[in-house]
Amino acid sequence: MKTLKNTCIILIATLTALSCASLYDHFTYTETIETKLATLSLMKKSNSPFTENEDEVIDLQNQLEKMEIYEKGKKKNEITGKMWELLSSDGHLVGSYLKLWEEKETLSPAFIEEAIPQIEEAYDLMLLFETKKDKQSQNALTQFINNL
Amino acid sequence: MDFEKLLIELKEEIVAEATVEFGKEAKVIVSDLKEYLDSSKEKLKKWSLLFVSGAIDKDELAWLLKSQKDLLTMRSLVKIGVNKIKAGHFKNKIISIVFTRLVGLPL
Repeated sequence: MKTLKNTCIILIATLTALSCASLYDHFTYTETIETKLATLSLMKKSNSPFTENEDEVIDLQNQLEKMEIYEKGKKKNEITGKMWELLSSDGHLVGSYLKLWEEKETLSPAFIEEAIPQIEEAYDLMLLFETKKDKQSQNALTQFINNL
Repeated sequence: MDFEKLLIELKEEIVAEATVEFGKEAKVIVSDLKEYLDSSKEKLKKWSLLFVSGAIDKDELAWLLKSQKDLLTMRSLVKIGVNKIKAGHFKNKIISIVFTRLVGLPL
């Protein structure tokens, strides 16, 4: 009876660990804030020639790529991975903004003013989602561990 | 520019286009696109005026429209993700109940 009970407990503990969604990651949270600030700061400069800001653009592209690879490498983290892809790929949000800037060399002030809140909202959604993981999944796991 | 008229015409055009392209499946697509237009109404109005006045060009307008669609996708992803987390949380609760009962069994 004792062996059966222990087996059940181990099985349940394993199932609990497997059923959890990706947990809150403080590195992701702080890096998302840093990337957001770097993006907005660079966007504010996009009425000046692209060629004058190329080094900063490359740095930002590398940071976006790093985050996408990092998030996609985590298990049960498809949603966050997909959001980084949506943010950084050439056809979407920041990726396409940088591409447009490169193509046109400078962007109009009215456009920059309208584009900044769009990008800001995208980052805020990512930060919000990371915080949701914190409040729900991590607490559930902690509660379970405390019960052991 | 009569923006309200433009919005109605856009909706009609979308319904017609989607019906030709997707037949019976068009209903879901049309509903998504209508949601896009409704939730973006104020922005679309402002961007159209900026374009007409020459403050932004065609490529910049296209980027803004696309970014609004991307944001809707992002919002949907967050919604799906939060529901997934809630479902996981519920599963954990059930497992925790079973676990507590098992621990309470006499050896």
